[in-house]
Amino acid sequence: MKRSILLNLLVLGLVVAIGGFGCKTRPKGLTPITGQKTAVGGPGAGPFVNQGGVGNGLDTTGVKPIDLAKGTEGQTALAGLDTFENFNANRDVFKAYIVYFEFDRSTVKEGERAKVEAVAAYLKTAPADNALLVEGHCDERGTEEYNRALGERRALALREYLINLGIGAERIRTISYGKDKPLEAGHDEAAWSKNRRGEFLLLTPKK
Amino acid sequence: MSIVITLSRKCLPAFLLAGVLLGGARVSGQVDPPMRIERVADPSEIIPINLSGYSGEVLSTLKFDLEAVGFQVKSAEASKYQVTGSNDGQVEGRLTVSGTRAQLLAKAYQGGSMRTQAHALADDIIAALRNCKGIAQTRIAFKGLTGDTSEIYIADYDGNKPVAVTSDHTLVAAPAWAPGGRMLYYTSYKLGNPDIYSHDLSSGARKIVARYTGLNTSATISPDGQHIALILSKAGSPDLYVGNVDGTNLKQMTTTKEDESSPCWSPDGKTICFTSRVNGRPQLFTIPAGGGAMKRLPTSGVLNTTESDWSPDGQFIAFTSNMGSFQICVLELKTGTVRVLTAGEDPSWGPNSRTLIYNRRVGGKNIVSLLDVPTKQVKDIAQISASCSQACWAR
Repeated sequence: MKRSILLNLLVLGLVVAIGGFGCKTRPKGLTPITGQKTAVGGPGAGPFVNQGGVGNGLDTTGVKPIDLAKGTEGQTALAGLDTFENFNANRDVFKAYIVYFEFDRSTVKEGERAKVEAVAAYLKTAPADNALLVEGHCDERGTEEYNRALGERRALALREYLINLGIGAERIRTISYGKDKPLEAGHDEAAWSKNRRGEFLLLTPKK
Repeated sequence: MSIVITLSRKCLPAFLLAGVLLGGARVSGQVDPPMRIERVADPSEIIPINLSGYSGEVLSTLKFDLEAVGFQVKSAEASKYQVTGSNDGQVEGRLTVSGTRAQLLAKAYQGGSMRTQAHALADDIIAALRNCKGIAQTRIAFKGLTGDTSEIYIADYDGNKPVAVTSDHTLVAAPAWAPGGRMLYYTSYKLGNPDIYSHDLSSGARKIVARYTGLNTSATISPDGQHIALILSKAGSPDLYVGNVDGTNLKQMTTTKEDESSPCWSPDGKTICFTSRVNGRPQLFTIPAGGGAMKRLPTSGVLNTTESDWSPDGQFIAFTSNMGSFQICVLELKTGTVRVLTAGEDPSWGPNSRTLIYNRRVGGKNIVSLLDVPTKQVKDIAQISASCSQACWAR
């Protein structure tokens, strides 16, 4: 490559100059969110504990609470998230009532219905300001986003069943974890059957 | 000869600017007069190629980039093409045909890092021989597991220099790029619910795009950057919604009682492909982006189809099927043929409509790999050591 050195330097200079501007298009030192650190426990903490609302420096102008709308064909719309702020969640109360599902299904099996009925019975006698969080989970044999939706569908199926048993729709919140939180770590049906589940958490208002 | 050099020099500033605007500080330096074009006609042909004169990171980068697009680096005797050059201060290379020694390319590079120059040379070799867009300087986003929690990462497409974009110590999912590669969308449980965020990568600023009760996930941005498709369950079951890219003006697209999931946009922005379990098992459907009836997309005997992604050239839809184990599949829309390609899940197309990034489980963790669809050649991304999934390619 026999080019004149001067031309090379000129080109190099040009490169450095333009490169300097060009570098601005590359993100430098990506800054993770610097929100205030709310001490609500580690990864084991339930999702129900509202971490001071959405005021962690996040723009929430796009977020509006959703009115409870009429359901269509057995689907009942969900109450707004703001109705579930400032609750404590208790997983122990309904620990014995985890509901299990068939693979790739969200129907509440006949043999599981007694558990849902027990949860309903409890809620009917609990204070009116107590609410319920239903978690939906899947086993590892579905892909991630598909499982996130299937887990939600399972939680909603349980919620619908409870509504049909007379529990107010606005008292029940759902959350899906897809396959992110298995109870059993194995890779066989014994483990998978334990992971395809719905869990109930009692929500009591924080004082 | 001197006139040719002068002309080349005058073109350089424009060339530099183009190079910089394309996202790298790399620059094509001295350029020889146009060479003979010889492209390998059959995209499924594995091309044996020899690299000589390179060392260290430049050599390993060139090798990776070529193998990702269906080349195999071999000895000189066993190769159809030769790349001869050096990386002594700058990367240079000459591409010749074995035997005839006809020269197809001769380039030297300046600016950026040696790695970026190697990527630039690889892109040029691939353009000369494969007739497809270069991917060697593109980027990916993915979800990385860190114990019980996960974070969103971005990296070069080959896994170089992964950077955590989040640090929330919660669960995240489904990263998606806006066109242009400066904004990421993803799902995070940071506020105790799966909500969708937009994240400006240059400033770090985040906004909540969707935070309805229940599920907010699977955000995907239209190719023109104006709209978002996503999955919300606020009406009683996970449904497909489409709205403005900031999450306003959302319109419910599906009203089935069962769950919809993982939408993707056609490159012309007119159609959305997604999965629905309306018939009991997950199947692919399409729906007009402006609204209308959902229509089954047949996948030729391949079942339980999820996580679709539409190739940028519009010809293919990649997806995962599960008939006992996850398989990466590609549907050719024109013919309706489905190819079952390799074990793995969650494919995302590169800008070249030829390479897929996906993940599969190996020895207890998820690894991310590249699949060259026409040759079925797989290249594991060894640079990412964490367990990761849901890789998404910036296009």
